[in-house]
Amino acid sequence: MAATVTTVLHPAAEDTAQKHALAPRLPSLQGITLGLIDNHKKNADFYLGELGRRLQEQFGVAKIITYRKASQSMPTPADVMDDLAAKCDAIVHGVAD
Amino acid sequence: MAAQLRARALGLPEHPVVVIGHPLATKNHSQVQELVKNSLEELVHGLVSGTANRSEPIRNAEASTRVAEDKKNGSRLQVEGSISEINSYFYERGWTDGLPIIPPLEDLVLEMLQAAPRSAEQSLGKMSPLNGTVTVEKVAINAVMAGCKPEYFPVVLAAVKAVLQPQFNVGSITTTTGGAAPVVIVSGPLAGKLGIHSGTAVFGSGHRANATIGRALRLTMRNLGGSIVDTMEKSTHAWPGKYTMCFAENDARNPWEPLHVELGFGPETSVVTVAAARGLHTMMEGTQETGMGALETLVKSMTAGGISGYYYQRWGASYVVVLGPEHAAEIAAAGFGRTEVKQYLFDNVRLPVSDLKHRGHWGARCWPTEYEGHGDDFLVPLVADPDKFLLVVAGGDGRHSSWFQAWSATQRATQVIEASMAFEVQETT
Repeated sequence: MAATVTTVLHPAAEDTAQKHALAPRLPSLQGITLGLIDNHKKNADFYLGELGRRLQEQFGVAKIITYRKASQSMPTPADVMDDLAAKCDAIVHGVAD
Repeated sequence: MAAQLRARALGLPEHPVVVIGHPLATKNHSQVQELVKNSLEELVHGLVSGTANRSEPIRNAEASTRVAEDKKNGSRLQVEGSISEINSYFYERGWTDGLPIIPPLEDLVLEMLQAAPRSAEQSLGKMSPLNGTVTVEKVAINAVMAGCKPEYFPVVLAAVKAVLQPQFNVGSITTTTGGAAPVVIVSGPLAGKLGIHSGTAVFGSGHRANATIGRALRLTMRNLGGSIVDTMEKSTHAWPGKYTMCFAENDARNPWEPLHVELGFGPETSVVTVAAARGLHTMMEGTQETGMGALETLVKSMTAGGISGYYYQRWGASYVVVLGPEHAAEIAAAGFGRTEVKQYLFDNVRLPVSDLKHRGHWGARCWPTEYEGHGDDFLVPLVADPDKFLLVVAGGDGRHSSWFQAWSATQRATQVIEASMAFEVQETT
């Protein structure tokens, strides 16, 4: 006996991601301005502070701009992102915990 | 992994991600310094010599996913086997909540769509965190799976549109460890016509409209937004509201104006309100004989440790307080209207700073700056203003009431239920 075949509709997302190219990687970190986004989880500030310090000391990062999110569960506001994108050569964003 | 999936949903599958490893919060400073040291090389590699080397800017589009023209309608899948085997097929793909589903056959989906006031291809928005396009048809498919009758579909659509309102922050409701799920409250004449239960065991089982409307919303969040354990769903515990949580106001026993009228809608309008909650708390007051006694006990049940709202109230989350009809009648008889109940709760549901200090979310507290500097005796309210208590009368006989603990980084959302021109709700008998 032939097996029963049922036609059902796909219940999940079938979107095609529009793939964006990454920004070009930097030749080096020497002299750059680095943005750090702290998601406000405990120890994120200490981790990123230490990271910034080491990157300045060992890799020649010139300037650090830190933004602390008001809550880990709230997105960084668009105007803050625009401002950071304009001022920074690269950004490291802490997420989750 | 969640960060990579999210990057892919945003169109950046090659985005470098450095994993530090959970938990960061419980490490001491020397352990964190060690983590920095160990992650430094990988992090620098991501910045300096990542996998791509192209010239386009990194921030170049808002909508990073879209439905291809030939996919405006959901794909048709040929599945071999019995109903049970179809269920396994869906379960194995992560498309169900673990309970059996009704297979979304074309004719069943079509029947659901006929109850919609909108066309099947219309997009209601993107469901965060994975940003799937929420077409009316996709919602209908999930509503069939959940077991909805077609006449419930306008309510499901309203609930989905409500969670898509930006202030509801639906993506973070999935990704938080705090275990948030939407509580769906239906208010207005349609609730009774559709048989959305508001009486005995209102949060319990056995009410088809309640069970399936709430479930359809959750399946939509799962299948379009990626609310799936081990990827984007990160709740430490969660609660059964992650399956379903929908109920109506008990109009017959509500001593005050209906909720939707309080919210500014006309009496004949029906609305869905969603609020994100971390769980359901019940309280009992069966000895006190006045409404004031019931209110006092309710306040005591809401003033305890570990409630995140005291710390995070600035975001404006709503606490849903559901008075049982007997408590509601007693409170009304004591001279309280809706406004007075909310004011009483605002004035009294408070904890002193000394109880909150160095506990809970103390280090990340986000409350009005004027609360600072008053000393340990200052009484911190649970919510920022009285209107953040959402007062509902529901349930059956007995001297019990309940409240839902709000998840904090959200604001409630209300959506009018649009009736279909081609569909008339049958009166239930």
